[in-house]
Amino acid sequence: MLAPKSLYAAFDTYPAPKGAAVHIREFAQTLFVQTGSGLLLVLGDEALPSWQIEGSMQIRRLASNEPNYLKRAMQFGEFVYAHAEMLRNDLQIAHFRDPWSGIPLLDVKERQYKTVYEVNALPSIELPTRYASISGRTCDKIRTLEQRCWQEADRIVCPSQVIKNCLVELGANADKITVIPNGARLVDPAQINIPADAPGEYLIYFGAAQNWQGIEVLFKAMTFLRDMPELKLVLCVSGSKPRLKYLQKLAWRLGIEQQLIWHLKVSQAIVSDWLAGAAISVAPLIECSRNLTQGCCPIKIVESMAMAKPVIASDLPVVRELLEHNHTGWLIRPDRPSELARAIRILLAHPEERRKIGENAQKKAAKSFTWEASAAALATIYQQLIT
Amino acid sequence: MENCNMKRGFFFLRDCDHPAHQSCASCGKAFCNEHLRIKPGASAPFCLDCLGKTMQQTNQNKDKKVSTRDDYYDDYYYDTAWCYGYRSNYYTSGSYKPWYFGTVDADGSEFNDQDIRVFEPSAEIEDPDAEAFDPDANVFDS
Repeated sequence: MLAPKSLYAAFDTYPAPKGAAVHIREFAQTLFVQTGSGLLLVLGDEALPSWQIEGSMQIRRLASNEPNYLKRAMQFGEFVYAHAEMLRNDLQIAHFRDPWSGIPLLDVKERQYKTVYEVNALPSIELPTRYASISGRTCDKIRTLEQRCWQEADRIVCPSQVIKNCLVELGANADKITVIPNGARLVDPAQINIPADAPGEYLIYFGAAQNWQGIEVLFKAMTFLRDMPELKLVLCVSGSKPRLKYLQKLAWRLGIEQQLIWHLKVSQAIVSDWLAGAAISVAPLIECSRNLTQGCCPIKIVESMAMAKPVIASDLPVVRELLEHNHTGWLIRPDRPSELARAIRILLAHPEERRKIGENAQKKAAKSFTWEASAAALATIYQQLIT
Repeated sequence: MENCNMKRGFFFLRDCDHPAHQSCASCGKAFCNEHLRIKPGASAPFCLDCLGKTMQQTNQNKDKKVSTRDDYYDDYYYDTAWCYGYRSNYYTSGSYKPWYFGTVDADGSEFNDQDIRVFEPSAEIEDPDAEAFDPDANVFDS
């Protein structure tokens, strides 16, 4: 087999039932099509092969049992370095999603490849929400690595204007940053088989379960909707076992466990089936530095729009990049469960309004948020780097 | 108690997290027993870094036609110390500069044991009933 011409590295399990994995799939495929062949370096586990060949694409997975996040990141760095060093004369482009992959790629001496830093998140901002005892000094050290990545990478791509503003504020060169929003594939929900055990009327939350997603706010909102016993909330979520266990306990404490239907770590296809039957999709992002300062581009919102599902979401700048209140979505002030519950009631009571918002959202998605459009924008960057 | 001053790893260095027991007779830094060796005929221990460097130099200087290998020397610590010498030689002769996660540097950009400790699974927020490590868990989402 010929040496791959490009490399895409992500400190993330692939495939996995969450938006990040969809993003990796779409962007890695675009890169590998542009260069003719490619190597995807990701995390794996015992259930996934460590080496997989799919046509002109190779996937190599690091299956690490290291429980310490930072040590695991270092192991992944070594893994990436070893491959990049070996391929330094063959690769045209190396694309990375995080500093743990980026630093080793930038460290390879006499490398012939150009680099693209895809910033979906900054660990220096997100990790403190997961590990409470991280000191400011440790965050500064992580920030130093991130800074090197955005300074030395040839190009930077990010999915939202808020992230771009954040990077520029932190000192990145605005000229080399391109905003490429997340995409989705347009789907007619009528063509999908809704799960046989689906309840009559339900809301859906799908995606990862980190605390910035606002699942707690949604749970509290459900306590205001106890007078609608037939209404269910379907949760297609992935996350760490402790986090999921915490959420299940919280539901029990709030007395809403009968209103919830859990589907943990299910495939994209199953999420699609459940989304197709939902009355409303909910994205109750909270007001925190991750969502406000760093920014994001929630795939759950884009995918709901692409399936003509009305979305109730928090009124944050990152959401306003995607949704317009009462036209393509329904915006509520963040962190206000009663307001969220009221919005749910309003939209449930007005199915025609719901349908209209869903249709407008799908039109907007068709125009601005398709993976084809994202891939074309990314391909242009790769072409500029290669020529 | 001072920790061992040895750096573990090859491409990515990090501190050894064992407590130090004695000082190296050559460089004077403190190391744990795992990273110290007593040379044949010597009374004080040497760290594996110093031992490895000495061996690299000895090998470069000796006449290759005449074997000067000492069986005791080889059996006792040759294999372990060799990789430390090789590591040192690799860094000094090639273009590679290791990515060091070890002790706090002057610019504060490198990781130490304290930094690493906070990333244990038991330190995760909302983790009162911490279970086994879950490789699916990751904080990065779009």
